[in-house]
Amino acid sequence: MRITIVRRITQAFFFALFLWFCICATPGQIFFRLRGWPVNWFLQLDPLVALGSILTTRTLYAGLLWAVATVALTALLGRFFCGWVCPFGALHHLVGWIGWRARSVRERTAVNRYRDTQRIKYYVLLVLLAPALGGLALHLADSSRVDPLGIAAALAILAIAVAASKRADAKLRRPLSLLAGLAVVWASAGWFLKLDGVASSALMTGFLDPIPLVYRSVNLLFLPLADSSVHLVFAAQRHYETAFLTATLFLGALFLNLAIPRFYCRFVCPLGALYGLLGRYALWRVGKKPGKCSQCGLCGSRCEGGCDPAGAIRISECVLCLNCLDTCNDHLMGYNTFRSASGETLSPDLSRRGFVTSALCAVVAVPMLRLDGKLGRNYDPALIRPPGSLAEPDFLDRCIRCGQCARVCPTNVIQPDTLREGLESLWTPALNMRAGTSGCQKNCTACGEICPTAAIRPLSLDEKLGLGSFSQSGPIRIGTAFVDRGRCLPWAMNRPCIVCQENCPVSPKAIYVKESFAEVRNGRLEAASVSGTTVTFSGPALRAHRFETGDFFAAVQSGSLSERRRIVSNSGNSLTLEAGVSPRLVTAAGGKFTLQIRLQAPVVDPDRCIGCGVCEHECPVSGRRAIRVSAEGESRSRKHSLLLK
Amino acid sequence: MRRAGAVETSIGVFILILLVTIAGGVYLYGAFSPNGPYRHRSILSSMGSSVPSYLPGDLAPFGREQTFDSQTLADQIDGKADFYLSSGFVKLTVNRFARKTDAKSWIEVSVYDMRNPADAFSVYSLQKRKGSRPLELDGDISAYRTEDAIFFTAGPKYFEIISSARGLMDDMTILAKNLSKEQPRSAELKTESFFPRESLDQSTISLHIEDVFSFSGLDHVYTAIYTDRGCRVTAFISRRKDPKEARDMAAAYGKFLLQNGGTAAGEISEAPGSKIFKVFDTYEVVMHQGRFFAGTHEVDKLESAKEVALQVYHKLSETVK
Amino acid sequence: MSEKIKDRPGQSEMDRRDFLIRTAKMGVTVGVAAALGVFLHDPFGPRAPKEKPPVALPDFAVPRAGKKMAIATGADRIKTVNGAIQALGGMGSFVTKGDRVLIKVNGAFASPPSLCATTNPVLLAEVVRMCFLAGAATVAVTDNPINDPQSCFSLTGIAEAAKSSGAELILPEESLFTDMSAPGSQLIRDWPVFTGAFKGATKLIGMAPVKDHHRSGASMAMKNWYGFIGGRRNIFHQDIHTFIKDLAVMIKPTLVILDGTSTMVSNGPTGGSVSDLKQTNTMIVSTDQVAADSAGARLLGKTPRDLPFLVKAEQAGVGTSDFESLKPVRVTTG
Repeated sequence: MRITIVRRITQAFFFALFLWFCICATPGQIFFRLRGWPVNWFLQLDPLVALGSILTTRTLYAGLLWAVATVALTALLGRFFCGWVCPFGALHHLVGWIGWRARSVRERTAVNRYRDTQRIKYYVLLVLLAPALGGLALHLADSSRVDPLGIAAALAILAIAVAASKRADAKLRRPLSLLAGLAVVWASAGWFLKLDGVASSALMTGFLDPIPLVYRSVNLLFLPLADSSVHLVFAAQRHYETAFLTATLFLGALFLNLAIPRFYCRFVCPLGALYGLLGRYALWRVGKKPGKCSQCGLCGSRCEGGCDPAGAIRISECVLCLNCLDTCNDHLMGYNTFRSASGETLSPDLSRRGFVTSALCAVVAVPMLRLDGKLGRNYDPALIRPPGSLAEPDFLDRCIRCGQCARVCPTNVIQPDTLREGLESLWTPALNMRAGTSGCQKNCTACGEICPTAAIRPLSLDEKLGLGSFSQSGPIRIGTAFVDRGRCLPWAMNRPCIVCQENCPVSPKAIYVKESFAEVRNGRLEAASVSGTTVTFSGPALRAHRFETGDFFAAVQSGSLSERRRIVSNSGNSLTLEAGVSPRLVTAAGGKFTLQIRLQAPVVDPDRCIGCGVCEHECPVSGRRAIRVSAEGESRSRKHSLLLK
Repeated sequence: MRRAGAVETSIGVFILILLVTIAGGVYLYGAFSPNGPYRHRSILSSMGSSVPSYLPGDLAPFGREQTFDSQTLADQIDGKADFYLSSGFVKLTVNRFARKTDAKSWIEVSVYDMRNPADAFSVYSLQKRKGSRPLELDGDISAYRTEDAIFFTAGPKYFEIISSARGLMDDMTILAKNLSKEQPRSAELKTESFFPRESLDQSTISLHIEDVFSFSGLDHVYTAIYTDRGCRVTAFISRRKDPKEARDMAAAYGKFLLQNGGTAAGEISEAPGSKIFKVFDTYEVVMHQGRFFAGTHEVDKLESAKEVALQVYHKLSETVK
Repeated sequence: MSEKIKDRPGQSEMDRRDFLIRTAKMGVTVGVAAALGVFLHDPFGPRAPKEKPPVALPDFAVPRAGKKMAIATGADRIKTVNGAIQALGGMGSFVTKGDRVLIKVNGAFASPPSLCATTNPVLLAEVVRMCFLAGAATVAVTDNPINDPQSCFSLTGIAEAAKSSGAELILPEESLFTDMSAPGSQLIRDWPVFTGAFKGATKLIGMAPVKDHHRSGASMAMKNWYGFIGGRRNIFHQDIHTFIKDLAVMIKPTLVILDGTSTMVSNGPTGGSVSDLKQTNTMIVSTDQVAADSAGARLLGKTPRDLPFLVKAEQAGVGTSDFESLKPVRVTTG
């Protein structure tokens, strides 16, 4: 059995496993529902997620420990993940194979050669990770926040940097010491310039990290499409915002395989770059055995990594597709413990200028992005984060934009966010009460449970609802509902409604009503005769049956005396009332009646409102709702509190 | 085409075995671990919903979901509304599911949201239908069925599943299982599980909310009926706030018995603090253990009253430890 | 760019050295990754943010000075403030050599001194001078105004007064605020407080004008501490009396100087017209802020019973609203 066959089986296996994890991520107990499936496993295997969150939070959350296994295997074997495990890689592999299978050997050999531009992915990695590093440096500089763990983590990272630079070739030593230097500069800047208002860390890796990317693309794009006719995965059609951007990136990356196979893996993938760095010292590596090589170059003809196996092979680019073993006519290619007979090239070979420029850009990027003040006074009140989300800066330190929360949310109310708070909010979760099938469900804590990085921390139901040992702190609030009295039917247009009050799931309800009687338009009538419960009018005709709904009343008033009777039916010139009015009062009032409507106008009790948005979802004013949830009062930020407590 | 050598083949086989291991591991973990990697059970439910996330057979939702609050409850169930209202009723949700092929075969699921699990258990236990048979649902959920209906309680909810026609029982059972699985559980041990199992009729466990045994001070008492050597024995357990309250309750109830024609008739030596009363022709055992106030009630034979009381006492002693 | 490793002919006798070095490097990578993973592993994730334990601000009161009070009558602030402080034993009994004095002014609004919505700059300069005379090493002036700080300090004349008298002006920069809870406080919990201003200070003097205030009834010495609070502090207007009480519990000054020379009797606390002012010719100096405000209330035609924050503060043990019980020294200046 050739190893390339095994590789294909493995790729298919992991891709199928990934698809299974996508399919079964709906809450529920039956076999193809979430039950106990470890649907985050690929995200947890991703060392870029682990490294990023270590840099920003100095902790490694729960299942992210799996990344250690990936790192260890990569250090031992090389970039096995890219060629054997990565579900995104498998897709690229497939599309590239389809697109290029009919081409000539010469063409394929040409397109699969090594290109200098493949080093771009290392810059991508740097640009995405440096903001997180900036945060670590700042943390170190801020003595008030120093904790032993943080120092240890930083020292460890510095130690790696120093060790690596000592051991590495001269080309790499410089950038590494530069990186350390930058960290120091950044730290001292933080110390002297009091930058903490602007400068902080951010986890940017999720934009291009292939694992979160493929999760959100499949879960939030293809699954809802594929499921739309069968409804096996979702109970109802799902909708997700930013579909266009998600699709552009995903499909764009796939189509580029037609230009160059594994385009994304070779030029863009920051995870591949990280693996390239980790796999530099792999014990086993692809290379030529000593022997008579006919220099045919065929080994490069189906090379997935573009790693130049015919010449001095670039180990950091090799994705272990092992196609060269098959294509070598001389049976010289192998996976050996010794270096290739035709030599090896240690990449990445980053230019100093490129390194400095990208690192600097990245370090400056977060402060620049945050100059808009969206994390402070200028926060967007329409941004409602899922229940259990950390305070915004901490949230952005953890969220990898994988979309698992939006996937698992039973009501589709969690949406991948647009660019509303600038670049940083793209694909992070935000509640959109209009898009979902309901608001945030009171008894659901799925988003926090599934979040692989605890950007949304796992809440127990007791904590979410403020029960048991959490009764002191009260329920988790994600915002507060505000009535827009200019759009609300009872408030603005004298129409009965209170759908919001009915649907409020909080008990006692967070929405109560103010009852009032309002005179209807042109509602002053003069009675021609009153007999029993029927009043006849002169003057312009009423619309027949209009006042029979049970909400309308006829009122008669004289001085301090007044009577109000519900209207049972009406014709063009008469009203039948529930009970008669006293004839004396009618006479005293000169026969003057007013038509009134009984209104119940909703009022929010901010003490009780948890911001779940069910009212907003149900509000019949379908466009811009007449009751809307706004972030004031959200539990995660004391600075957004609305009430004293 | 290149031929693979022995080493290559064995590596390939090894990798394939590894894949099978991973698949097996994922399967075992996903299919059999109680919660998988998730900490709280609520993720496993579709939001503690009144509609299960998966409908069996060819059932489909039929008509709109109806909800009733305390104002409108009487519209749905006229006769028994007061009973629910006085037992901590919060909300009633009614859903109907019908066969896609036959709209006349429908199942109606009524979910009563009660104030707390005890209230839900109380309404469940106090209106048990004639001819009921016990039903096994998820875990230790209390459930029973009749010819054409299923009743159960989970957490603060009480469920009634009734059907329009015979022959829907299989689907109803699956529906009940799915629904019961998806209800959030409270970790707290249930008082009713402290009744010793031996010679107990499980279906007789009931919860009485107030004025229990016509004693106005006594509330929240679970009762269960045992058969001891042919004698019917009602045992009772009530969990109090703390040991002191349990002790006080035992003293107060003893006093109440004495005031109402009872006479002291010794104690059970193995159960410290217990007292036996003879009330007319029957015997009462009153005792306390930790937070629990317990005993047997209106038993014809003294020996049976003591025997069952002792069993209850031992069971409580185990849990108190 | 790249470094070529020399071809190794005769690889059948593998380069053992190269392999060992790589093994070592790989081992280090794996070891570091594993160590980091295990060391930093956090199986539970973040918890609900816990409120920090309350932190008391320093007590600036001079114990031997005790509770006392002086009320000086006169139109000239320099004379009245000197008279009143002399009556209490002179500035020397409060400020001693080497003291670092912090003066909390009311600089809330960007309005000219003539409108008396803010601490009078002439009075400020005089108090600073007295502090230096008593041996103060440094004097700092601060507030976290409602309007833009720069314009407030310059328009009110406070910046100029501070500069000319040699005091330092502390601007309310974001970095000087820390989130804290105050002991005994109902509302100041996990809230930004201007703690940076207190850094190094050994004495605290509060200087406030007497003003009408629509929400609380009066803005005087106690209400003036509002300027030590940051964030969106106006949410505290929902329960302003409790909040002012909380401020008075949190801040323990050496001295308060309540300027009732010209009292803002209407349209407070901003005023905006001289017609809002009434000449009341009173300067109140006390070590008891409740007593000072109770005396100041009279200038607005109010009694302590009209101002719930005074009652609450008295109940909390901050001071006495029966200021006559302190036997205030009354001074009249020409």
